Formats: sequence, structure tokens, C-alpha cells
Amino acid sequence: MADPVRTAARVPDTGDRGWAAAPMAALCADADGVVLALNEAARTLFPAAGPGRRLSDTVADWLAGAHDRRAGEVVRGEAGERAFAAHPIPHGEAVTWWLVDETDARVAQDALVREQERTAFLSDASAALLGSLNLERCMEVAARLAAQHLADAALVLAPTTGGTYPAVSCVRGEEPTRSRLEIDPDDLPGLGEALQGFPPVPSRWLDPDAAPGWVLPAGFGPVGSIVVTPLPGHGVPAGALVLLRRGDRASFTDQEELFARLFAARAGAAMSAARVFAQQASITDTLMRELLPPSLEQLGGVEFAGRYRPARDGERIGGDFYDVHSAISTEGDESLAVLGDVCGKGLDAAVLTGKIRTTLRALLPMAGDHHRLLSLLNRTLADSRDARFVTLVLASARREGATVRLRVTCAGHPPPLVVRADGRVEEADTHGSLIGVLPEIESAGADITLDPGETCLLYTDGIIEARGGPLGDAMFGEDRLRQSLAECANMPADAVVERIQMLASQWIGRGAHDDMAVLAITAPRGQHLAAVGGHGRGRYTA
Amino acid sequence: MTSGLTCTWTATDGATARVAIAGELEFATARLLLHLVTDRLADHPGVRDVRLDCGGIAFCDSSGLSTLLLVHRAVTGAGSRLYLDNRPPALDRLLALTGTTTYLTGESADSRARRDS
Repeated sequence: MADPVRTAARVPDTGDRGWAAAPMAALCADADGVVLALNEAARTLFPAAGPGRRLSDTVADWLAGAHDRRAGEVVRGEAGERAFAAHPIPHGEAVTWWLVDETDARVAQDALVREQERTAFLSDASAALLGSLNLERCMEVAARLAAQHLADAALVLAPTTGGTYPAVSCVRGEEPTRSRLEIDPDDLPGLGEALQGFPPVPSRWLDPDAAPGWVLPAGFGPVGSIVVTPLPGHGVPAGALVLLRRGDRASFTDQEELFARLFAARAGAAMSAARVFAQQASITDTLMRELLPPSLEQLGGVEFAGRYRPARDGERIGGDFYDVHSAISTEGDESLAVLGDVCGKGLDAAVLTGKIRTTLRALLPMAGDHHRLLSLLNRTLADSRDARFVTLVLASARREGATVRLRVTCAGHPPPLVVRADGRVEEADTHGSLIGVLPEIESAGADITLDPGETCLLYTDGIIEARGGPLGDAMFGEDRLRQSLAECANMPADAVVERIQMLASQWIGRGAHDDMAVLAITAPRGQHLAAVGGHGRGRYTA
Repeated sequence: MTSGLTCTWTATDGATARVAIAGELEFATARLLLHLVTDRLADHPGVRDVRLDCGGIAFCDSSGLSTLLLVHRAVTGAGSRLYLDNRPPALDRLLALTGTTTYLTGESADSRARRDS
């Protein structure tokens, strides 16, 4: 075996052109750090280096240091503006250092890390932006993220509502500020187009001096550069993003601008979703308000109270409904109470319910003749394609002295129950056919007199068909309803409906159920206040 | 678990079809019956009488009744006649309460007029 030291030392002397002309720099030094040999590439890299000279005087410090330490590991450092990994190959006492140029790899690696950071940021941004379906909250998140990661300050503008522009501005490290700006967006070139949703306008560079004052956050100081980026939405523009950088920071690179647009796409999508959601919620609210059951009160000396529980938890409307129409304008007029059940559930049923309630209100002048009113309603609804029908009970109530006179007519609905003052429960003797399907209907009404403390209860079959009980599958049933009602003698109307609804709900427990509605008409057990006024029927306490 | 609904169409002879209904005729299930009857009626134009065997109906709510009314409309609209056989007492009570007994089971003027036209 040849002596390794001599072998290494012999390398340059052999005239091996392969070693000398290798594109990778290589230099060989002995244990004392004196260069034994080096190739062309190493010479170019370290012009001062040469055989017999010390490493510490001629090459980069990190390389000389590594040689002195004799660690035998790959070391990294820079030389002549390039990055190298130096691989030591020991030959006994001497070491040959091969310098691998890693500049390109390191640049790529740095770019990769930056890209990974950006991807992580965009993903986090999406999560933060979509975390709220509230438009203003979403704008705050967008402004805060943009100020933190893209610029020194950011202004997020949403399209105008009623002449003013909802805006959120945020300076890096500070809290976002909400405002409504009364501005002309065209004062800032590109902003008007971005807000009107012209096809993707590229981000625009602006002369900071041309920017109107409302773009700059208070106390921001001189602006170095401004960029306007549209926030694309779903079909309609979601708004615009204005990025501001301070004077001492250079303008955006292509990479940064691309990154800003990627962020804008996410922010725009989130704001657009929040906006659509807000619109839908507002439409639903408006429609729902019309469909909600009314709160009832005493009318013309008669107590009315109702309770409603829709089939689906979380919904406030459904197929059951009740209304009390006051007709108390002159002495002896009647109020008309209606309780009904539209077949079906949820929104579909609620919409038909709304139609029926409106039609009934229009037909109020016919309320003196229940059959006629029901026939007209039947004719209005009968031409629907689907056989959706409504069953209902009409009850016209009038106070007469201490008593309440009722005319009750059922249309395909369970007849109302009457609880007398002594706790007896009777069924109203009325029947009729359902409304909305048959060409002609029939009906027979009943007259009922309620003495003080007596209640006539109108209910939907959701109450008696409520399934539950100890084994979970028994119906609440008419018998149980009668028993419950018997205990409600002499109670005010509100207490009656509360108790019945509560008992039925307890019966159901956590089980599924249909819409449930109850309406009580009660003759109050009040004192006759004949002394008040002294004329007419007098007044009663509730 | 709900017991669900099973409907079976059997054409006993060319002119009569029998539909056995078993289970709960309610909101979630009732469409099944209507679709079965309308589909089979279209496939068997010769059927004059459709006999629903209601013996197996355990429960029928307002959506179930609505479906029976739609089935009636489909059957009479196709020029056939609908019969509700073996009605359980609860179904009879529902038909009576809603005033639909004559319409669904009797020779109502409406169905006769449509069939004769």
C-alpha cells in the first residue's frame, strides 16, 4: 500500500489533468495547515492560495478553521459570493477539501421555505377569513392579515350600500378600525374599477402623492408605495384592497404582488360568502316575521292565548298556525280565532300557512257565516296541483255579561275541547271537511257558552299524536289531553296553553314530533267593574 | 327506528290491481305510495280498478291523507276507480274527521264525471 500522505502529495505532481481541471474546487493541506496542492477551480476561488502557503492566510476563515479542528465533517460557508459545502477527504495527516458549490440549491431551498411559509399563511388566512360569516368581521380579518403580511397598512373596502362604503383600515401591529366612508372611489385610480368588478384589474401602482387623504390611516406618516387590488367575489365584486408601504420600504416585487393577489382571491371569496349569507339571513328574517305566530292578549273581554312549537328544532315556523282577528269596533262584535294545521312540515308548509292566513284576513267580513268563509277559502286553495290541504277550527267569540259566547266550526280538524268550571271536559259538537282539495265542502258549527273560568281549547293533532311516554312510542292521545285539560279549570288562558304545551313536550322528551299548536279562549274570572263608566256591559278585571 | 312503509302492487287480472300497504303512511314515507301507483298505472293502462289494501296501515297522518287524496286524483284522472279496502278503524276515523270518506271511497260526482268524460 502506498503511503497516503505521499499519495495525496503526489496527486498534483502526476500531472493528472482530471484532478487539476475538475470543475469542483479541491485543495490539499497537511496537518499544519500548509497547502500541498490545489486545482484550477480552487486557484480561481482563492487566488492567494498556492502550494507551501498557509490555509489561514489564503482561504476563507471557516475553511481554515475547519481544517485546524480536524473534525472530519462537512462544513458550509461562503466564498466569493457563492455558497459551498466543503467535504474533507483525509489522507493520514493530510486532508483534501472538495468544495461543492451549493449556491443554486440554497437559493432554491430558500425559495421553497418562503413558498411554504406563504402557503401556510394563505391556508391560515383562509381558515381565519372563513371562520366568520359576518361581513364586517371578515373585513377586519382581511385588513389585519394584509397589514401584517403584505404591507405596513391595509384598507379593505366593500361595495357601496346606500351611498357609503363600509371600510376597515389596519396599521401593522394595531387594531383594525371600522368606518363608513362617504367618498368618490375614483379619487384613487383603479379603485372605482375594482369596486365595480370590472374583469380582474391587475394590481395598480400609484403615485403616493396622488392618493386622497382618506386612504391613509391617521398618523401613518409619508407613504412610499400604494397598490390597489380588486377582491374578486362570487359573480359580483366583493370589494377592493389597498396596500400601503412606508417611504423607506421598497416597492412590491413580482412575487409579492402575485402573493397579494392570491390573498385577495381568498379574502374576496370569504367576504362574498359573508355578504351572501347576510343577505339570505336578512331575507329569511323578513319573511319569517310575517309567518311567526302572533302574541295574543285579551280582546273585548275575552282571553286568548296561544303556544306553538314547530316540528323541527331550530325553526320557528311550520305548518301549524293560529291567529286572532279583533273585530271589536262596536258593541257586541265578535273576535275571530283561527287555529289550523297545514299538511307538511317546515318552510313549504310555512309558506302555504302564510297564504292561508292572508286569505283568511281578507275574508274576515264573511266571518259571520263560517260555512261561507270556509267555502271561499276552499275555492281559493282547491286548484293547487299538490293535494296539500289545511284543517282548521274557526271560533267567533263575543263577551256577553260575565260569559263568553262562542260559535265554533271545525273543518276536518279535531273538535275543540271545553273545560267547565267544575273540571268536566266536553267536546264541541262540530264537524266539517278539510279545506283545499274537495270541490265542495260541508260543515256544521256549534254554539258554546263559557262561564267565568271556563276555557275552550283549540289544538292541532301534533298534540294528541305526540309520541313518547315511559316507553317512548305511545301517543299522548285524546284521553290524556282531556285529563290534562280537566286540571286547567278556572285557570287563565295563558296558564292553560302553557300547561298543555308543557305536558305534551314532557311526554315527547327528546323524541321527534310534529308541529304542535294550542289556542285557548277563556271567559275571565274577573270582578265586574260595573261602577266604571256605569254604561254598557261594564268592564272586568282580567 | 321507525317502521317505515312497504307498498306492493299486484295485478290480479288485467283490469284490477291490488296495492298492499303496510307500515306508517306519513310525511317521510307517503310519497312512495303515490309514485308506485302513478308509475304502475302508466305501465298498465288496462287497469280499471285500483284496490288499496289498507289493512296493514299502522298510522296515517295528514301527509298520509294528502297522499291518499293525490292517489285518488291520479287514479280517477287515469279513468280508473279507487277502492280503500280493509280500512283500520283509525283510518276510518281520520277520513270521517276530515270529511273525506265520501270523496275517497264513495261514488263521488267528481270521479264519475271524470270517468264518463
